[in-house]
Amino acid sequence: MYENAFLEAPIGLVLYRADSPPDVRTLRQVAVNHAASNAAGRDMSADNGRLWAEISPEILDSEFASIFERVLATGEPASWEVKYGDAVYREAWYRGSARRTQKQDLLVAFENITEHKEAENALKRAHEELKRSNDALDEFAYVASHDLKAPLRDVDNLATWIAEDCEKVLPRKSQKHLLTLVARVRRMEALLDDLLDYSRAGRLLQPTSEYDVTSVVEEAQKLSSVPEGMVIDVASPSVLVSAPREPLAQILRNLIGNAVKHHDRPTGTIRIGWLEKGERVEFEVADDGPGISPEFHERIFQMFQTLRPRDEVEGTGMGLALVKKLVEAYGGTVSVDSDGRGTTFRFTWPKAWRS
Amino acid sequence: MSEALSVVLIEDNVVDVEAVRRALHRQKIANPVLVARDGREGLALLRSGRVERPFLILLDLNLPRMNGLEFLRELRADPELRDSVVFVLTTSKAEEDRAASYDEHVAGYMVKGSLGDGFRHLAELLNAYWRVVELPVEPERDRR
Repeated sequence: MYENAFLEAPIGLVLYRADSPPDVRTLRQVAVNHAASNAAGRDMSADNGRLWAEISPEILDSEFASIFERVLATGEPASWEVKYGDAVYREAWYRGSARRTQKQDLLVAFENITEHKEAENALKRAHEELKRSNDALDEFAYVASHDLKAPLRDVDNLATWIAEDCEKVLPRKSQKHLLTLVARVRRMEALLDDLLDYSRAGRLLQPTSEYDVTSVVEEAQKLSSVPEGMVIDVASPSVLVSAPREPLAQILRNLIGNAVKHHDRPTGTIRIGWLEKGERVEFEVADDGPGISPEFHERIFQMFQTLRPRDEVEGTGMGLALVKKLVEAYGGTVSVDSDGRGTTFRFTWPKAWRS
Repeated sequence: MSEALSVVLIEDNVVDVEAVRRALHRQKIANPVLVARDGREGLALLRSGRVERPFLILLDLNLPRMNGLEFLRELRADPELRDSVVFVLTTSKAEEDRAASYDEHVAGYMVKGSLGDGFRHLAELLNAYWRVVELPVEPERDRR
């Protein structure tokens, strides 16, 4: 019964018997199962009775010799994951272990993990490749946005000066064109700034610190230039968080800014709240503005998407894309809820961030 | 504000040169502005004796031939010029650049994009700075 279990085991098994005192040179193969033959690419049952060192003399120079030697001498089991091949055993990645039995025999269990290993290596290569191209893209976005901004600033200056210096001589129409030109240049500057922020957002280089989320919300509120008539209602208990601070501040600034910018009435309320949910804090930024039709709920998180003409509401269409990238970079999710009037954005933030 | 005070502007972008001139003009600052287009030209100008004290230097970092940081190192190694007051005026927001500049004892590091429309804040700062701050008048060695 045990013999069958040995022969049919799904993992390769070989039993070697050693003379006394044990020496790898005297190891003799006494039993082997089918899985072993399959793994090694050789009918190993034909080797029963032969000296291990004789079956493949090359293997005496391999690390198997020293591993087996040690197991026989100490009785401590050993395991390995190595690439091996010679004239007798098929070249492959082998994972295995060896132990000394009660009868002082050496029992070797092994399997051929070449496919697994190759898949793992391919995955690793693909991952490295992806990381390289992502880094290159971020680097490109960084350089492009920085270097494109310098000449843009010059165009901005020159157009402004022409408008100033020629105020008296330029036809009204041309003056209007110049102002539009300056406005477009500034939009492009804003786009480049946002692109730069976006390219940096996934880098996770921000230091982790401990803070009360209330302080971040209040700070974001102050920096958001909320117009008169717009009330921000913050009502939640303090929650201590240990995570990068700046990304959270930026997310909140973008959401508050969004609510303010798209509000269609002179007065309104933006409610900001949060609650602890397991290992995360769920934030909610809700406004009583015009609302966002459900058909657009996916589109608003994409880059460069706006729902109204940019001449009506100046915007780069990057704000919510950046929010999404930041939230997801810290393992969270962001969602929008709006049907009819008012829009609620929800996102989660880690209570204790470990990168 | 001292009437005799000069501004040495080391900047290769003609638009930024004009932006500085216009900003100063707006603040009714009529002091002479001397322009050099890179670090080497800047050093040559300062060593030529054409710049009278008191003066202050506005320095761009990204310059051809000799960049701003190289210029600063040379300047601080020159016994006649090492006491010069320098403000860095650059597009670079990089922390390395900022740290390296302050290592060379600049009086301030300014990022061009953050100086308001037409460098308004720069002109306001200089206007106030001159009114309040006493600048070195003659080279150190003459004082001994």
